[in-house]
Amino acid sequence: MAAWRDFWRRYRRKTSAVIGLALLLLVMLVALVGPWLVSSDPWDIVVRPFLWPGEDPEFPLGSDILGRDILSGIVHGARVSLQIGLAATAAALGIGVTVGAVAGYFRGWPDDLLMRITELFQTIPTFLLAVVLVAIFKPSMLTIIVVISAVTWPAVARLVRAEFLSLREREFVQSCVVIGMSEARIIFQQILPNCLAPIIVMSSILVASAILTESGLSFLGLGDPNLMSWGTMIGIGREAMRTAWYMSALPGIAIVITVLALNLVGEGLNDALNPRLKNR
Amino acid sequence: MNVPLLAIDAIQVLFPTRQGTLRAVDGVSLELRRGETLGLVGESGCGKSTLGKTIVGLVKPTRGSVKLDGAEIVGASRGELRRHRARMQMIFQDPYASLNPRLTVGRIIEEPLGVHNIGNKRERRERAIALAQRVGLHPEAMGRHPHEFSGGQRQRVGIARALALNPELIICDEPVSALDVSVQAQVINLLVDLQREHGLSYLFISHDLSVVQHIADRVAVMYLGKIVEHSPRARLWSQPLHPYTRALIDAVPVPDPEQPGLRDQGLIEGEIPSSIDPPSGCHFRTRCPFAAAVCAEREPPLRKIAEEHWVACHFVERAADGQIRAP
Amino acid sequence: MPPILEVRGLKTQFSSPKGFITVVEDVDFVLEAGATLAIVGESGCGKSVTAMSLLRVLPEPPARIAAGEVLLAGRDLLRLDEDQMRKVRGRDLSMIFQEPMTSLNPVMSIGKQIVEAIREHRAITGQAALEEAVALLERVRIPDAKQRIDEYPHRLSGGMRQRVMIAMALACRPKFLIADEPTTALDVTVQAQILALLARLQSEFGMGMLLITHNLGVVAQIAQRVLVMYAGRIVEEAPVRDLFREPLHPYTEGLLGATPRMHQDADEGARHRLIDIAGIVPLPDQLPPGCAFAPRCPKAFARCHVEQPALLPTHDGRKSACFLTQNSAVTA
Repeated sequence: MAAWRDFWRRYRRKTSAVIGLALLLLVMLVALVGPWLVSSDPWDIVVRPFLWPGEDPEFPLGSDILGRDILSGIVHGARVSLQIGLAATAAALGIGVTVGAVAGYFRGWPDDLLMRITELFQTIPTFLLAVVLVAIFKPSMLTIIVVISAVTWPAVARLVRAEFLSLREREFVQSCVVIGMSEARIIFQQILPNCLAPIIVMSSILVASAILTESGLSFLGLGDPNLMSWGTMIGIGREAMRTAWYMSALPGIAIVITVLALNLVGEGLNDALNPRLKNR
Repeated sequence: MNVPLLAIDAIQVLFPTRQGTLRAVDGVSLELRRGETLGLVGESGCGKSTLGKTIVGLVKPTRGSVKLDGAEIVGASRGELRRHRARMQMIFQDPYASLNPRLTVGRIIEEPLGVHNIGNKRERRERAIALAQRVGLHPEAMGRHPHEFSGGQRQRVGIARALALNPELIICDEPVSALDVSVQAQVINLLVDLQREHGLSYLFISHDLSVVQHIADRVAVMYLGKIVEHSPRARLWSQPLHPYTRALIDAVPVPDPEQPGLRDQGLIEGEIPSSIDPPSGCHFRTRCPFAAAVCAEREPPLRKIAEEHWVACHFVERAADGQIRAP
Repeated sequence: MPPILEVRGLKTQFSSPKGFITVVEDVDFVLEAGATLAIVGESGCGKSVTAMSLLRVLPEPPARIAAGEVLLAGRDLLRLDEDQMRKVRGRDLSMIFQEPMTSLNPVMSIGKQIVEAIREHRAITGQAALEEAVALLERVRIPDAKQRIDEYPHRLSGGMRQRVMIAMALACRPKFLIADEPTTALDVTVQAQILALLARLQSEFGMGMLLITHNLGVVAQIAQRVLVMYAGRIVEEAPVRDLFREPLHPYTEGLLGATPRMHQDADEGARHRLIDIAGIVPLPDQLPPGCAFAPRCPKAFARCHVEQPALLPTHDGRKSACFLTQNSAVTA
């Protein structure tokens, strides 16, 4: 547990990291608790359209072109964004770590084969894949998660592979081979825990980019039509951009805050996790 | 029990590279007897570390055989290799890289026992504590991580781990090269004591002749992948026959100002050639003051010149009267 | 009057979250032209920091030279500003390091680097400088110097690079050379060549050399006088012959006893056991009270744990920082 305390001490030295964490916790709080505090469904028309923020205290963020509560949309959107962001990242990590570990540890033909596959997936344009998948399957949360993880895992695989290639030659790994340890155990018990730091740092960035991608897809109308996501809201507000710019701006600000928070946390994690190497 | 504990026969380890074949180990045969320490010395590129790693199974030889107590290791099945591993362990050079930084010292020492399913959890823990104490570590050390210890202490952890499976043979790959003199002495003394207590055999690999001479019973000198001379410790220093061995001994700065200094003698010229495409015939001929035409044409075989004394040089011979002549 | 480099009361500190930590303290010595002084000690004893303090190449935060004087030809180097110091480096006082690869610029040919070193301090034409550079390479025994002059550092072996670094350091014929572990990273046979080269160049140029090393063998072969450092302080100073024959400080005794010696063990009889010094070197911010070596010293007594012994002259031009030797000096 002393390790956690040390980690926190190093983390909180960077003010921006602490701010990022606070913002992130705020967003998570909103996502968790918010939907119970605001009106049930963000798709419900509850008031006159084009209501500006601050005009009516019952609807502090105003209403959109059809009269839906924007605050409700933001709150539910938080949940959607975080769910998709986390799920897509988890899937990308699962695939990427496995591929990277196998390629980096065994090298030779498994490495060549897996790297060709990785390159293939890296060249797929995100939105094109989304359009294709949405055309084949119905647009849904699952489709988006699949799209995002499909284009994200290669970066994870590359990172993990690089770490494995270098760690595998280290003497402590050789020592495990010498005592007769099985390969699976070496990969998961010995090497993987030692490359967690860069993976963790990358994860926060991945969640941020997943949220951005999801917003983009929803904006284009490729997202789940039943979910009110921030991207959807921006898309809806697009038509009224000239006069009622708040309809797009407010969800846009929500995205910016969340992505910024994730990036700051990522930087903070990076600084907090790396100094251990300097402590020799 | 006449079978040597370790018998290496014609081992070759060749690596293909873009510039040519890297001949890391180029035909080495050696024997190690039970309870003895065989020192392996040489400078960079001589292949001693690669040979050590080949013996312990980290590197696959291109050709040749390695027999542990008569049983062939090269090409052994996974199960067989695992059984051999329990009898043969390794101590590594870099105390900062040879321990998993995320594990506690106790875990590190226990690990070999867990891998081979020896004893239950409590028994393993007790054995690990006993090992740690034997190598001079406090039982409190068990819960700490490697980065909290000095280089010498980490090396002790590595030794305790190597002892866990009660091996008969330990390959020591430059175990003290990264340590300060006083710490080096601690670790060397520990290794000598452990050998006596447990009847261990060591293959002691080092570039430091003074250390090897102190700890080894017999010494083999390597140059560019080959053994050039091989003899009992005392004889190597009192009667070195191969020109490279002599050059190596002359080059070591002796910690005694009364001994002839480096300024006073003819030192060997030139640098070690690359192991890719080494000189033809005798690899040492490019730097040897006695090189002649035959040295470029034919490779000198490792010949027995006296009891327990082998040399690979065309000009070392035993005359009819029993006297040994060397260039 | 032959030039000398005199160091008085050098104290170097490093800043840390807990304040300034003293890494080198109370270091005095005199370096004479034509002679070699060795500073020997294990890692963490402060010998490298001492050497770098003389040339002021330590990054000024986090390091700072808190006290002392470094007198060269009457000037205190510690009081000079950066411009003046730059004129001193290379011309009056030069340094070579352990790792030639990191000290040489990888994207510049070695010829260019030597020429730069020359023209830094002397106003001569590029052509003349190039000719001198070739001559220097020949002097440090690099074969085919005229062709090699255009090569890049990574094409050279470790020994070759070290020779290039020596050539650069000597390009302007400094009066003094600091060699910080110059051969530690090299093979034994190459080490011998480099040491012999340094010794030869030193007598040819009439330089004074400060040799930093952890290897007692190197000290015995090359140096005339030696300083032994422990935990940031000098604990013994003596002519080399005397130090090896009769070490005064228990740490020196321990170091000598811990060093394996070839000739001594060559006979068939039982091996002698190396003396090991129990314990480990204390960290600079965790020094024990009194003598820093006391916790590990087999001869320590009560006073040692309370009071720090000063480095005092004993006899025959020797100094020792140990109460035992000081007592005998008083009674002698």
